[in-house]
Amino acid sequence: MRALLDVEDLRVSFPTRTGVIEAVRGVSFTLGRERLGIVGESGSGKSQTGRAIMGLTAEHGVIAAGKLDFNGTDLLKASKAERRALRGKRIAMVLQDPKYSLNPVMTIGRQIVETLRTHEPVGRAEAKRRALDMLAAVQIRDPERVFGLYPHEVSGGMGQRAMIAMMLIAGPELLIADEPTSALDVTVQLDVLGILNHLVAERGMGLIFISHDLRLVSSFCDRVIVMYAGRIVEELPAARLSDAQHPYTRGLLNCMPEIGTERHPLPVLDRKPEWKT
Amino acid sequence: MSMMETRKPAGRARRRAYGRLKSVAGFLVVVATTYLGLLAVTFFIGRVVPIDPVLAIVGDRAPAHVVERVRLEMGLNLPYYQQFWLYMKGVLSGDFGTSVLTTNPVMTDIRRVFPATMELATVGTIIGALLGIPLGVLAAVRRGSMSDQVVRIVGLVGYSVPIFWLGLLALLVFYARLGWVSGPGRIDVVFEYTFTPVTGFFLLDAIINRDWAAFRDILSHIILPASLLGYFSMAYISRMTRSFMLNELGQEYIVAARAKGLSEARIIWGHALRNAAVPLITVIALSYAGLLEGSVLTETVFAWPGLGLYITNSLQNADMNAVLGGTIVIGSVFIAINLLSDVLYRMLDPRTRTR
Repeated sequence: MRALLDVEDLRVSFPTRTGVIEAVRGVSFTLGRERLGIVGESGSGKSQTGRAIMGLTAEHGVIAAGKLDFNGTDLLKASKAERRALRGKRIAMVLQDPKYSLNPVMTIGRQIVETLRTHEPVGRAEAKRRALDMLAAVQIRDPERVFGLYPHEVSGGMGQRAMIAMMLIAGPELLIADEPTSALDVTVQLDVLGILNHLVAERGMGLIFISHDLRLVSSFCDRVIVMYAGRIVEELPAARLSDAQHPYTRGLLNCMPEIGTERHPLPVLDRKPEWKT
Repeated sequence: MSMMETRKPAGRARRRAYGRLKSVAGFLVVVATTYLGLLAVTFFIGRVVPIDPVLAIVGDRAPAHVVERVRLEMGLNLPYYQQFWLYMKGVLSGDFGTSVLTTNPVMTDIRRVFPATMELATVGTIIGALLGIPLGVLAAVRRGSMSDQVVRIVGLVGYSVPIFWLGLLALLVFYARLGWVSGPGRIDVVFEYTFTPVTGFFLLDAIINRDWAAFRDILSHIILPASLLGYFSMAYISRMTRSFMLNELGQEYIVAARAKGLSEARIIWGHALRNAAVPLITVIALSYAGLLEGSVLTETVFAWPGLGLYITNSLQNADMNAVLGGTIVIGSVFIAINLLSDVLYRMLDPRTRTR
């Protein structure tokens, strides 16, 4: 199987007044049409990895890589316009909190239609019909009504479904989900994950699932990458997470409390400077 | 939301109509209260200033019995609450008394001077917004760049240079030296007998009369003072636009819009500015209301027969009726503009709409 995404030695750094901050320091992985989880604590570079692939790194950031290849397209050589044409059309991204990631003064329907009409020359009526279909596909019961609602008028779970609809309507091959359920109530997290999983499988997309929730990632993805301080410290199939070798991964796993066991004091993550190298 | 969903459509419509009625009623209460406050303050000012309204009318050489009779006629012997009642009745029926200075009813004077000020303020605000918004957007998008600095310096100059100085300078250059525009006043004396004002807004009147020669002349009179006022409101509007835009451009929905593959132009004008427009409405409305007070300095420099000049002249001649009348008009304008910006706010921001 040909790789959908091939990342080799990706580095993202931000020059600041006090020196260069290296957010991502040499990340390499390949992705087929599978579900890849990236876990790590805040600041481990997982989100910046996703944004670099999207081409959404902040303007002053510097990206360097041995290879950044998306389905035959060299993302490093692609012009700004070419990358923009890819975004939303072939690579899409779901953000964390629908409360902030949807435009508050535009109806949900218009925001979904906007994605579609940016990438495909479809008429108004056709675009609306497809947006309604898409809303139905993310299991919104009354698409016609939700189409005309503003983001503040829907719940978090419904907002995130609308977000997924907005990002998937142009039929991307790769979806990067950056903490897509972290802002949601636990009860709706599973619904949204279920929808995401179903759509990814049905459409044969590749998925990069970025999260800090190790258990969620291991139950949801095929493969897991554990990042620490901008580097990959361990990569392993999700099913074999308990066999993790790296002390950081083991530390993360060890932090998860289990029902029925009393542990005092709670374990604290051990961070050794040599892991950074 | 779930409450709304289960409700029958008829119930929802009734609820919505009720909500709208309630918000209109709320509006009216706010307006009435503000207006009552305005009247109370102007009434109070009229009583505490050391100007005897009787002497202002009869003059200080009138015999005592005349003074006494006029005092009774004016109701000044009545208790204050009755005086206030009479005052309120008068004001609400458009009677502000007679101006000592012009001997006209104050209302007639204001009908003459206020359109002049309003016309100037409107053209000025349009210029200010048309220049200020794009400049502010440009400065925000190219933050820290050369164009950002230029916009900021231009804004700073607009903020700090005294308008009378700039006005005189502009007259000297564009009127006296280059002759590109007409000088002081609203319209040339040539048109004094042929031009008949209808609304008092001369540009509008010229269009109504289809008097294109007059229109050109009026335009060449208004363009200089309006540009100056426009420059000052541009300075304010561009600065505020810049900061609102920076705030919006840092939001997550902008990242989402980029992730959708939208063009930068669409993101800036269609998404960020659309959101920044909500607070901008208030800024532009306030700056417009400020200009409607009539800027005394501009009106003096350009011999513009507006409200600012009228009130200042009246004040210097202790013409209290005219001053208070002008104050009430300005207050009413502020209330009206605030209401208008409230309505616009609701139109632009769905979150503030009552459901």
